[in-house]
Amino acid sequence: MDSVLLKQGAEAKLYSYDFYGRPCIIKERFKKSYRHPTLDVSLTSQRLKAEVRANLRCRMAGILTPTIFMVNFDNSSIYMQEIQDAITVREYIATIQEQHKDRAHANDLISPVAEVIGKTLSKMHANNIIHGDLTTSNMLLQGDPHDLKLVLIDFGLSSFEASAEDKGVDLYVLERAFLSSHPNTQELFDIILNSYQTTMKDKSAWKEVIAKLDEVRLRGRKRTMVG
Amino acid sequence: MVIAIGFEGSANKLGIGIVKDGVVLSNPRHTYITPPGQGFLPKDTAKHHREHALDILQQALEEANVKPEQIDVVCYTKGPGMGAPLVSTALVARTVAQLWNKPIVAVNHCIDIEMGRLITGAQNPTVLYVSGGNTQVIAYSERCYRIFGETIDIAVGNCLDRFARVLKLSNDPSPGYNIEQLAKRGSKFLEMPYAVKGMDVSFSGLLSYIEEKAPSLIASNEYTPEDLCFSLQETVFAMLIEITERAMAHCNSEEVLIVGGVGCEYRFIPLLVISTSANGVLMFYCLLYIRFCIDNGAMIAQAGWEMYRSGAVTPLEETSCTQRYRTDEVEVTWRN
Amino acid sequence: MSASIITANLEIPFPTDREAEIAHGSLSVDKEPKRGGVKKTMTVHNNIMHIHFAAPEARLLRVSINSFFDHLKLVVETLERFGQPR
Repeated sequence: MDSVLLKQGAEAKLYSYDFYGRPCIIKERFKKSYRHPTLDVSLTSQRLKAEVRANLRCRMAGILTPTIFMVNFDNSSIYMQEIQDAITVREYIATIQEQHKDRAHANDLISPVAEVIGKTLSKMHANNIIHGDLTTSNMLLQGDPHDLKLVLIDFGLSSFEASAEDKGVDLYVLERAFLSSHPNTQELFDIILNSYQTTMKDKSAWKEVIAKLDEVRLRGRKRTMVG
Repeated sequence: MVIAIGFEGSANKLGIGIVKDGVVLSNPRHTYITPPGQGFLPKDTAKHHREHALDILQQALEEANVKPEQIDVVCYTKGPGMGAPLVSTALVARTVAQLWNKPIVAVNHCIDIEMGRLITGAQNPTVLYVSGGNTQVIAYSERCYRIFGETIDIAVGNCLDRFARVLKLSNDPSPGYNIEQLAKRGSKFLEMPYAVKGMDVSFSGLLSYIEEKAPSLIASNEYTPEDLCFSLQETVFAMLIEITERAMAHCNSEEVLIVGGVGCEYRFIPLLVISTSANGVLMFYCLLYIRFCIDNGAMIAQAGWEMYRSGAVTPLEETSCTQRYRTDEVEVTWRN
Repeated sequence: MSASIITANLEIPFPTDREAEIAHGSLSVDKEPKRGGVKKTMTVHNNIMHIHFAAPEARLLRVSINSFFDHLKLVVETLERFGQPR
């Protein structure tokens, strides 16, 4: 069966495919000619491996991710399960905000999703998995959004780090993406952090991560901007 | 018809420019250059600005063939930047504004993006702002320029400058320029830490890696300084382009504008053009006028002119300077 | 020694009232850095600008006055070069 191009992203093409009767997405990383060839080859293969590894580790930790069927190193492609009947968290938040103009009410409706995000990330960090590119576009809600089945995708920039710094930066990246994609949602992000905290079993680890998050936030605020 | 004069002295370049209805009439500059291996200190930079401000002002008026009474508004850089040089430049702006009875407009240096928009005709560009102290990917949304990505530690210019110091490169005309010159002759690529985190980048790990490795790599003849400059530049620029590309995809923007001192290192332009043609779907076009890339008076005049047209005037007693300033703290009143 | 306050008073005459007014306008905008603890007040009477400095240490007073003179010199030169002929 032929593959059908679904989407061209900034660094990969997504094709829809039928993998022995299972709905499948092929994610093919393409060459970036603006990069030095050595750098490009190295980054492409690093990211391919990172994606597969983190995907697997998350599943072992009980976090939903697409099942990986096959990897083709020759053309840097990953064949993975297509998450059907799903919308991105980004779309979900936008839809709710569109339907409910009263911000407080909309936030109330979204807050269960924010809670499950915090919980999932907490679990992920407890397993020393750094996603590296947390955005609301990289989180899917499968089935009825009220079931809160959160699926994480796009692990190309992921790494395995135990340090509070890396976890703090991971949250910082999400905060920035969250607030720029969804203006006036600071309360929702606070819910994410709160639920991240309550899920974290090791309280001192949580404190350290949040201290790092504050530090990274401050770096941005305090940087002198000479010239 | 509105004529605006802009004073810019936030870093080691002092510039005064005159703009008439969006047309640059004059834009002279003078750069404070320090010996190789040294950065510029605020105190000495301020002294440089005080010594040259009046000559540059005269030159700006003469080249533009404009008399003080024809000027409608005096604009100056409020920040961000180094305090002492900012104040020295602002003093001249305040004094002439009072002498000539002209209103003053305080301009946040970051939004001289407006100048870039005007020159290139770009409608809604994603802006890569790269300079000595600032590395940001900015896009406009809901009445503010919003920062989508930025460095989470040091700026790219800072990273390049500090590496230039390790190699003891000349600061004339700028450390980044000299890195560029060496990089052109480099060929052997050294892989270095590459740190893209979401839409943010980090350069400090890269810098400490190369600071530590460079002396032994050069001493053992494994890599030449040219190779290291080349590799550093390739790595840094690939990171910047990657986050720009991500922001563009995120905001559905089809144009990119590069603003700031580091944008003048020419390697950027071919890089972006290549990324356009090879990518296929994302349509990039990079329009850039090198002279306006550098911090300069005309940029400030342009931004101030736009603000003035929408009714923004800064009372004299509020024409202070701010060393730290966030691009997204400024509400853009003059753009729909 | 830290309890004592050292003060200095300057009087700067300008050729005209207006120039004194302009110099005051330009120089009185920037505040002294908070950390230094130096207090500086400026007033104008006719063509004379009065500046009062109060500092907890002589060193700080010196720095503040030096910087003031650097700025004053620039303003005076600007007035001389770009002011209307009287």
